[in-house]
Amino acid sequence: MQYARTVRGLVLVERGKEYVLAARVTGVSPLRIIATHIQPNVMGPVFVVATINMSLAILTEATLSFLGVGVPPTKPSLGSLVRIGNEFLFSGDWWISIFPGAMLVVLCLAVNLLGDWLRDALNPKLSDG
Amino acid sequence: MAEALLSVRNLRVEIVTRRATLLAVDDVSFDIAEGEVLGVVGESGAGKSITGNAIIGLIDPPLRRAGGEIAYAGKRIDNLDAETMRTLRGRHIGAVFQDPLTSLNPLLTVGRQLVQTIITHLDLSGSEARKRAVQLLAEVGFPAPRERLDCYPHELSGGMRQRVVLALAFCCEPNLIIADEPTTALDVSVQAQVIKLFRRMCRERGTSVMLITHDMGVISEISDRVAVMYAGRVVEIGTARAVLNAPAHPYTRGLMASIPTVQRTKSELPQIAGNMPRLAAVPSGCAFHPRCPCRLPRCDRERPVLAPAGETQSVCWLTATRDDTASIEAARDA
Amino acid sequence: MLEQNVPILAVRGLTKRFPVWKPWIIQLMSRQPRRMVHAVEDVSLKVERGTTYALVGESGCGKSTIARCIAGILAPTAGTITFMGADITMPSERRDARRRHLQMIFQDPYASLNPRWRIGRVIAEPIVTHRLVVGRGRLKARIDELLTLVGLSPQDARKYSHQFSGGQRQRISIARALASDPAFLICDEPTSALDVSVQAQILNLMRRLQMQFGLSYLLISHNLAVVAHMADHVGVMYLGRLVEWGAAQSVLERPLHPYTRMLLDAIPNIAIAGRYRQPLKGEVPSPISPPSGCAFHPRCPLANGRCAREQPRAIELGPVSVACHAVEEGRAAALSSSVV
Repeated sequence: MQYARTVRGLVLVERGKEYVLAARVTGVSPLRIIATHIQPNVMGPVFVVATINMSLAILTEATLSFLGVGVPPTKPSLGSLVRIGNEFLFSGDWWISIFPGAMLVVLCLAVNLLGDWLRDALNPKLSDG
Repeated sequence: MAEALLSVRNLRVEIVTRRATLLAVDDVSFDIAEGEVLGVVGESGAGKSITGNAIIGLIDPPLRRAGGEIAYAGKRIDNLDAETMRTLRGRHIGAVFQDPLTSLNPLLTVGRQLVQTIITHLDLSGSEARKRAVQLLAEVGFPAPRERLDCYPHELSGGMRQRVVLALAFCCEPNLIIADEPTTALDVSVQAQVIKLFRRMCRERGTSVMLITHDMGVISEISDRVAVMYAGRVVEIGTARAVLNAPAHPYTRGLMASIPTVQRTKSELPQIAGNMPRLAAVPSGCAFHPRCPCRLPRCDRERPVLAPAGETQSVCWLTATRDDTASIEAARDA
Repeated sequence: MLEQNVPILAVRGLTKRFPVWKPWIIQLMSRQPRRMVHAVEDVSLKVERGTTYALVGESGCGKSTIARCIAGILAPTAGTITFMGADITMPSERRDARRRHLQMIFQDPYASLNPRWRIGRVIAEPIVTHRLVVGRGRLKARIDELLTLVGLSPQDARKYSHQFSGGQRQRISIARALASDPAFLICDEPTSALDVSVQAQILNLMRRLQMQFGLSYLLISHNLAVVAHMADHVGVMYLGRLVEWGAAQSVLERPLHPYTRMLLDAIPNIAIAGRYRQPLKGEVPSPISPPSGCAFHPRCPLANGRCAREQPRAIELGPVSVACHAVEEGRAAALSSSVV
């Protein structure tokens, strides 16, 4: 739903851009306009939203598993690891919780940074041709 | 001679980028006397807006002031702290910007913005400030000023909005106004109205103005003196009549010749070859020399300095060696 | 194909109205009739082959809307458009003669080129769409030819649009417009966003190209000086209607309609520094509820009772046509001739 709304907004903006109008005046078929003009300019922000959602998904799953209502205990999950290690936090085996926790942080950070990098890499204005 | 109200000496503004530090404003000097309108004209990228912002103190990173002095009423203002500068702005130095849509807060009524500004800078009570606001709105041409106080900016047309911006600029009776492209976003007929209003308000109050624009027509309507900027430098300065009708510098001459007029129909327009240099690639010596039809051998080595040239002062080797208009013309035609 | 004396473009009675957008539920609940923006009302014009017709007016007068109707981006509410003998009133996505021979240049050089494309590809798009050139070698040669034609170098084909200045981008737009070998160019404020010296370069380029290829232009502009340099015929628009039109020299040197005269007077004359002028009062009214009768009457110094009731009809006076009661009644001489 979020993707649909984002994409719709972006497409509406793109459609009004003058280079799309120029393509229409030239007689480029609508499908081709979508494929060559609109879609590439829309994909950039979509990727960024996707990476944000990815970190959200990772964190949500971890939270649910931590609470015990996520994936079944036979399947590995960082969240369940944190839950299990919770009992041992103050009794010497702190690393059972902390390492998976740190891993979660690193994972989300990495995904967000990937999104930033992707946005910059897809921005032709930052390249020098 | 009376001391100038605003005195700018050797102003330099740099832009710090990842790759290099570029010079946006390079050794700019000029004076504005009391009650005088100085038009600063130039094309995009010439650095005129940055100069105006530097004077008001609205330079943000990656721009930074890198040298020179700015003096207002004899006292230096370029080295003041932010708080003092803020008090100076509005009370002594007003500003008018190009886009009335973004100059006005869309969430506040016109009246509130005026009253807020007045109260901040002048010691008036709320009701006195309101009275003054109504007076100002009437002066800028609103037929029912009291009712208009409660209007939001989006309810007004472009011309009316710009009049509100003028009212805001004048509300604290500043001595100097920096106007950056005040009429560019307006229709032609509205432009004429706003220019006329602006000129009248300035003349009545004896306000000095630094008018920044690329529109020669606006310059010719209001300015007493004109400074022409190119690639961050001032290349010519003189009275409006002289600079517009008998310019000495080759760039100014080319610029004036390339302006289309309604009288000249269907003929080839004189043009200046090439483009204004990018900040990262400003030519050595005189910045205009690659495009100049009157280039001398020394123009690419030595940077010219301001010297009298005919009726104006010009930064050009050609005009510096001959300082009367007749021989400049002869040299050009040679 | 087309006889010599048939105009290349003929527009008759073009009308375009936009509904004022409101969320449908509010529209339902308010039970008021849909309000319309009267962008263009009953506009007719003809462009002869190889000439430039300029549409002049301030913002909101409808000139850009006309341009877009002719270009096939908007569908007119009424009226007909005939191009090269064929009726092109309704937009269609087919790759027909209009698409190839009628091209458009836009105002904003920063928005009219796809920022993700190298400009070689930008210029190639019309050629590829109409399959005009076969083979990569020939395509590259054609692109190089077009770039040189507009004053750029073939090496520029590999660059992106953000590496060029405003004037250069406008040259690229012109190259793209010429790529399909058109007969007609619609130029929507082509130099309004450019500096004065760059404007001169672009205008000169456009004139040269017109002479070289026998192009016809529809020039949209609010700048009468630019129009004076380019146009053979001028149409002055106010709030969606043509108020005066005809030979450029006549309209600009001996304007008849009060609005035209005021427009010309509003242009600062640079040679006369500090000249005092009498500007128009008021502002252009909203096209949603235009004034009754002649739309200009609230601002017109010559308006009388008839002007507020009756829409003026066009009358022909030699090379010029005017829609004005004051001119018709012979009252227009009362306006002091202030055009220098």
